[in-house]
This record gives sequence, structure tokens and C-alpha cells, in this order.
Amino acid sequence: MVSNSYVLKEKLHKNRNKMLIFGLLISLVTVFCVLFFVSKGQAELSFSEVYRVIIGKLMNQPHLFSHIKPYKAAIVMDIRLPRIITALLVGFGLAIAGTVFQSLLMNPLADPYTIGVSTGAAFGAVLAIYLNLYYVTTPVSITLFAFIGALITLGLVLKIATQKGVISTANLVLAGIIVSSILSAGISFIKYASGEDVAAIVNWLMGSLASRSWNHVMIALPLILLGGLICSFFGSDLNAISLGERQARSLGVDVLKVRRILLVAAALITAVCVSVSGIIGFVGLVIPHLLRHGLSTDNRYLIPLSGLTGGLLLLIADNISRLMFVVEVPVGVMMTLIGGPFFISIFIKRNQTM
Amino acid sequence: MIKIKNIEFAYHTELILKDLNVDFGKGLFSTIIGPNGSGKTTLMNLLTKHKAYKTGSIHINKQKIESYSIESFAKVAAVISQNEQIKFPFTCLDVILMGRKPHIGKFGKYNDDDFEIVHDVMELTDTLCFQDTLVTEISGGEFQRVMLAQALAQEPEILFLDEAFSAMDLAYKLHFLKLIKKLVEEKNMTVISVMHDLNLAYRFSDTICVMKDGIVDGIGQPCHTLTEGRIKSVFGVDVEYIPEKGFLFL
Repeated sequence: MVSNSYVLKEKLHKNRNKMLIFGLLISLVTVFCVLFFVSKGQAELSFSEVYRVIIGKLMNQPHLFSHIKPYKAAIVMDIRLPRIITALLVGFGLAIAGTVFQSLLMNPLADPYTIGVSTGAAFGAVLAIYLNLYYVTTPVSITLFAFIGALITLGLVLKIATQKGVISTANLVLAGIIVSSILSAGISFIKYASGEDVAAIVNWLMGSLASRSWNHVMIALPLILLGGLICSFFGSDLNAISLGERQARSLGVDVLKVRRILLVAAALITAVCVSVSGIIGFVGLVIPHLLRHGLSTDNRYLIPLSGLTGGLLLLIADNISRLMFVVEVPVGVMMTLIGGPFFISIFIKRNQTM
Repeated sequence: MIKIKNIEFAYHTELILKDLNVDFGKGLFSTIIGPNGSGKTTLMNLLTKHKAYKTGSIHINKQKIESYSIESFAKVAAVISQNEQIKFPFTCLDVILMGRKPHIGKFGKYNDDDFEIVHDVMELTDTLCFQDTLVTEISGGEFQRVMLAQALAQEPEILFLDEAFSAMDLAYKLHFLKLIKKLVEEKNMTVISVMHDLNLAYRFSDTICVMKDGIVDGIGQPCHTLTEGRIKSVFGVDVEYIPEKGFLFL
């Protein structure tokens, strides 16, 4: 008997090692990609220059990059690096939020935008752009408006979805759709009202990471990491919840409490992502889907690994859209153009095997 | 073990349970039967803490049921109900291991005892063969075996079975009822079940509680409670009891 149960133990052990190795691999590839992409662009830099600037600035060792021209250091530190880190953070956040929403709503096709938070953020951002164009002399922060829009929407959706103190998943999706469509109409109205200046709004809505600064990183970093930590903390509860509310309760999970916490955490992540980058689809849908089928459904691993992989994917996608075309294509458009057909293909394949 | 006193429960204005009083003894296999709408599902929901009542009281191990936290209740009681379909590709082993969750907590690691318990219940429920199979790819009956394994892995004092074997074929149904009966006898486990099959209920239960219109119509040993007359009056069906064989529905 002992030797038999040992087989189970070994299996779990191997499984955990597999996850660790995958996580390490993705991290290594990410580090390599960061250095590689920082060196690429109109001003070509060498790998070692990039390395020296970054390490020198981080460790406060000016002698490491004192011989490198200041404009090069500025390109690395002020232009390329913040954009790249923003891409990593947004990809990380969207993939984690996707994983969590899917498990919470028991729907593998849910994504961070399902409950309408993104439309709220978009409305806030569009309003800010409109105000900046016509009404205010000192520009208001688009990011801040987007964030407030997302939070108000979240509150509203939760309020509508709560019946007798309980949030049901069906109500949540419905409330999300209702609030989204009202806000979409609002966005259309502002677009209409902006007449010829509509391009600024359209550009933002397409989702882009162009010219993101350390300010964006400073907003995104603490909030996305905090949200990611909270989500990871409830990984094992989330496993039980994916078996259904009843089953989770009889396994000792306070479903209503955990659901409320995770909902707010994932929505917060979404709000931050949308407010710094606009609407970037498919990361939150494709990444968890692929990892679930290729690696593990266990949310304790899936949540952090989705985050790492999502960050890497958005980093690569953003740099392709930055480097490959004469005129930069917004990464939101790129993602959907590539992600859409890709998703159709896995969807068809899955239906064939079922 | 389980003491139910003066329980009343209503959905909106309709009274489902009317001043209900029942005791279920420790180490017994008790079955609740009754026609649709008799209140047995509601009673099950109250006993498993899925719903809260307002009037009356339920004590488990001399402790009020509402004083158990969700976590502490999961250490005492396991529930197998008819399940929602799982849409995520967990392996059966993943799902069965979750049965240890109440005992190891959020970040606890499985120790050797946990693995041994899980291995034992997988052997008992004949689920070792699909430990690596995805729960999305097995049949309804196989899935119920996995859920039984998960519940047994919880090592519950009380096991609630809510039509837990409905999708299994007859051979497995009998096999598992025998298995549970054995656990009741050997490990002093308490079982509260809801079943529709009168013959199986008669054969395996120590106690049968017959419900009708939100009250208990009769409780006791199967031979005393499941009489031809009561089945006629409760279910409105004519039956003939053939000794040693079972009920013949006329």
C-alpha cells in the first residue's frame, strides 16, 4: 500500500517540477526578449550597451555606462524600457484576470472584459480626451479618468448583480452586458460630438502601448502585482469553485466571500490594464486556454504561469507592431488580428475532439 | 448525532417544512424518501448548510449547525450532490485530491497520510484507472465515482448523499451502496441519503424517514416504515411486498 500511494506522490512531485521548469523557462525567455527588444529600433544599440545601462542605473553604478552616449542611455531608460515594462505588466495582468474570471464564472470563454469594466474604462478615457480637446486648458489625465470609469462601472455592475446579498454568475454577466451597452452608446455619442477630432479617441480605443512612460509603470506596477498576489493566494479555493458553488462549499470554501474578493481583485487588474493601454483583447482569453490544455488546470500554478506567459506574449506582440511595420500598428489591433483566427482554430479543433 | 427540532422553512409564502422533528442516529444509514415536493431536498439543504433556517434548531454532535464555520463543517461532513458539469480539464486525481482540502487548508502540503488516504479511496471506488483522465472526458456515472472518492477522501463523520448514484449503472450502484454500508458498520460513519428507489432504500437503510407535505409521515426501521399501506398513502401507488424479494409495483 505504501509503495502504491508513493506513485501518487511522485506524480504530483513531477508535476510541480514541470511547472517550475516552465515558469523558469518563460522568465528566462522574457529577460532575453527585454534585452533584445530594448536594443532594437531606429537607433540600434548593442546588447552590452543595453545591459550596461540597465544594470548601471539599477545598481547605481554610473561608471558602467559613463562611456555610452547620454542619448543612448535616454533611449533605453526613458523611451524603450518603460514601454516594454508596461507591456509585460499589462500582459501579465490581463492573463491573470482572464484566468480568474473564467474560473469564477465557470466559463472558459469569459475574459477580463466580460463584466463590462473595460467599457467603463474606455468611457472614462474617451471623456478625458474629449474634455482635453474642447473644455479644459490644463489637460486631465486619461489614465486617471479611465481608472475611475472602470471602478464606477465595477461598483455599478456588482450592485445590479447582487440580489438579496448574493452575487450570482448569471446576473453578473447580464449586468455586465447591460452596463456595457449603455456606456458604448455614451462613447458613440462623444465620438459623434468630437466631429473631426474623432481620431484621437479612435486611436486610444484601439489599444496601444506607444510612448508609455515611467508614470504608467508606476500606476500599473503596484496595483497589478497586488491584484496578482491576491488572486494567487486564492488559487486552491478557485480550484474548488470551478467544481461548482455547492461542491466548493462542501469542501470548506466560503464561496461568496472568495468570489467577492477575487472579483474585485481581477476587475481592479483589468481597470489598471485598460487605463494604461486601451483595449487589448485576446491575451486574457488565449493564454489561460492554452495553458489549461497544455500544462495544468490547477489554479495555484495556472494563475502565476498565465501571468508570466501573458506578459511575454504582449511584449512580443507589441514589439512586432513597433518594429515590423513602417507605420506602427496598434498592438490591440495586432492581437485581435492574430489572436482571432488562432482562437477560431483551437475552437474548431476542440469541438472535433469532443 | 443529528437532532432536528421544530424546523419550519418557507420559500416566499409557501411553507415547505412544517414544524419538523427528526433525529438521525450515529453510525446509521438513514434514508429520506418522499414524493416530489415533500420537502426532502429542502431538508437536505438545511442539513448541509446550503440554506439557513429561521425557526427551530438543528444540532449536529450536540452543537448548533450554524455555529460550525464553513471550514469546520467540511471536516465533519461531506456532501455528494448531483453536480454541475465541470468545464475545466482537471484530471480525476486533481479532483479527488481536493477532498483533502478541508484538512490541509489553503497552503498546506499533502503529506504521506494524505496520499495514502487518497490512494485507498481511489482503490475502493475503482477510480485508480482514470487518475490521469480529464474529468471533462468521463461519463456521468464515472464522474459520480470520482465525486464519491473525493467525498470519502474528506474522511467525513457524516456523509450526505443526494441522489449521488443516479447516473451509475446498476452494478456500480449496488457495489457502492454495499461499500458505504460497510463503512457505516466498520467505521461508524453516519449516512443521510435521499433515494428514489424504494427497493434499494429498503435493502440498505438502517432507518427510513418518510416525508409527506413537509412533515415526517413515519420514521424507523424499513420493515416498520415502508409498509404497503404507507406507500399507497404517501406515493399513491399500489405495491405488494414479497418477503425476501422486495416491492412489486402493481
